[in-house]
Amino acid sequence: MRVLIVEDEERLAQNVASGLRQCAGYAVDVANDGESGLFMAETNEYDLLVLDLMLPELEGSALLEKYRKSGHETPVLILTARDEKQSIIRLLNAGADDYLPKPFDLGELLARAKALVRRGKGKPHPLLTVADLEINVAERIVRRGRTIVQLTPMEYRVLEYLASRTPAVVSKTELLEHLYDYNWEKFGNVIEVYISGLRRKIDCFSKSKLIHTLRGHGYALRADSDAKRDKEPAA
Amino acid sequence: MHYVPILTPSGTKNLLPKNSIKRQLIIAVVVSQLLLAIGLTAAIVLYSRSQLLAAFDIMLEGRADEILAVIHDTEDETGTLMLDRERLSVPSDDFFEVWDENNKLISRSKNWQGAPPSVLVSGSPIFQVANQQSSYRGIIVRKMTIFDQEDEHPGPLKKVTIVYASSTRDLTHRIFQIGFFAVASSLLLFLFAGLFAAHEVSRGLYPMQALAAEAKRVSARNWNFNPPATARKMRELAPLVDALDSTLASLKRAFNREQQFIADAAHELKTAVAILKSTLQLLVCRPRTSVEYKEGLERSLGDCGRLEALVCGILNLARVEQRTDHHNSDELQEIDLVESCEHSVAELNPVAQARDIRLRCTFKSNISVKADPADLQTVWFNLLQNAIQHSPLGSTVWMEVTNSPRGTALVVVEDAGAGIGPDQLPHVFERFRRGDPSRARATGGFGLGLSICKALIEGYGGDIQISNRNGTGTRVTVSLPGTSPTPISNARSAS
Repeated sequence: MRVLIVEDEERLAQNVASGLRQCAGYAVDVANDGESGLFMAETNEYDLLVLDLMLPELEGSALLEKYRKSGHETPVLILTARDEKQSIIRLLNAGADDYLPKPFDLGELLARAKALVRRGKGKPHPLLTVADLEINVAERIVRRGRTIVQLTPMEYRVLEYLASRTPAVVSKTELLEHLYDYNWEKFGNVIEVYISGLRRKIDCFSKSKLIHTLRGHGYALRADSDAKRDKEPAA
Repeated sequence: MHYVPILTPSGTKNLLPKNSIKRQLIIAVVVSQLLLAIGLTAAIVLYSRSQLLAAFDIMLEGRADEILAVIHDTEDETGTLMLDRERLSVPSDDFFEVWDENNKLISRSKNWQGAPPSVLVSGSPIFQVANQQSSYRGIIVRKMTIFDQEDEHPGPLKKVTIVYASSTRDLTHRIFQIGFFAVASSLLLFLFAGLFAAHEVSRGLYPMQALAAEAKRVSARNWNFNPPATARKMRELAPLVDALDSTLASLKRAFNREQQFIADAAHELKTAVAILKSTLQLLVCRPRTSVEYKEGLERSLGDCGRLEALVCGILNLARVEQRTDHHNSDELQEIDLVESCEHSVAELNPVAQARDIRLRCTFKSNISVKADPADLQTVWFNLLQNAIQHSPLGSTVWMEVTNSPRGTALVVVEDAGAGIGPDQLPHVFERFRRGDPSRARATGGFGLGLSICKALIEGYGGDIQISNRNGTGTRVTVSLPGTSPTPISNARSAS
């Protein structure tokens, strides 16, 4: 999952970014003013926008309106130091999905961010299930059957993203877009490394394979039967 | 007047004040009308009485003449005079008596004992007497007898005294009638005039009441003041309406400014607290190594320092702005302006050197000003720090002390930075205003420095102006009332 933070207070942006990286395992980009925030939001794929209202160059509310007008459906969480009801109502009506008044609780912000990401993917339950694979995105615990699977942070990110899109096929580009922040050099073969790592930890000791590679299309996380049905028209 | 209970903001019941302009005006009109009515009535009665009395006296004299006409001689040697009662035609209830020149009574009406002796010797021709039935007004006439022209032997003319009195009952009655008429008509007119006056006073005072009602609606929540057009058109009320208008407008501006300040301060404080809180929460959200804890705590301390600086800035500004009065110049010490500036420059030199910026000072005159040295230090410190922060690396910041011909001390600080956008220029002295917010954040400013400088300088009766230099950078000019300028022959220069 990839998040954009638009916040002009650098220290606050750093803290929120660290929180989202360390405690939610998200890739995080930070923009310090409204203009660059809007540019980044429109040129990259994000799963969540964390938006401050008082921004230089372009106000947060104006950014939100432009962003929604150009058809983006990514959930937006507003951070505001002004808690006037009217402005909150106006913002929610303008397309914001949630808001947090400053000074907020970092734990609450992380929980809300996760919930917004889940709902944005159409999977509101914190427990993602594919056959006997269970991913608890709130606690970041993965189980296959009864055994807990130990994953590296990047492997977890890949798995979480695939699970949130199940049973759809996710292209390598989409994975790269959503798993790495702006500063990362994007190399497709890195994904293959994580996928093989995931296969080894999740699929190798089970009969039914859950991670499927569709050549030229990408990857899918789903039960075997679904995969077969999908393969036939492709062949 | 009736009392209307109104609720004051504190919730206690309050009665309208007892005194009322309307009532006072109506009372004044009514009393003056009443006095007019009384005066007119009295004048009418007195004038009528005097006219009636004059007429009465003429009548009395006429009747006395009638008596004189019927006095004739006895035509014997004694020459006694006598009254021919048969020819007498005066009313029977009038009194009269006739005396000859020897004080001998010639005749007297039957119903009278005679005039009291005091009347006869008083010398006044008119007298008043009274008996049980009525009071009488009488006249004393001393005249020569008139004898018939037909008399063949007219005797010598003799002087007689005729005393004649008639009842004044009719006269009094008529005076009372006139008085009654005058009183009745005055009262009627007074009634109508009073009602009319009350109505007109109410109508005339309506704009004032409307204005008062409108003014009462104004509060901290509702600043709309729409004085009734009728009040604006009144010559007496127009100045009041104007005064209310301008006072409310400036109050509203001040109130809004305060509210804006509080909102801005709250925003800054909340953000600062949010940073500190998130730093600490980030630190405890999962197990850390002791190195990580140490780093996290150091970051928290840094955030705390920022919060502290913000609180100090806000408190400083509030304290400086609270000094509403200008300082009492007798209590202030004289400060050498050059020395004060040099001190700030020396203090900030390390900061400037860290950014490879030269601080150059020129002192064209050594002028003294009356001020608190710490306040001036704050101003120079803030201005120089701003200049240093906004200057490109390797540039020069200039500070110049000079004086205007009128003895005003001038301190100019110039930098070679990017300058200030023309749209930002009018707002630079506003609290929490930052020329370029992202840059100011990066330098750790809150946008309070210039506000504090302005409040301090204005507190000493000075002025602070900021402008863009023609080439690049900004120029801040501080003017302060100086005390003793002494030109410095060779411009001193320090770096």
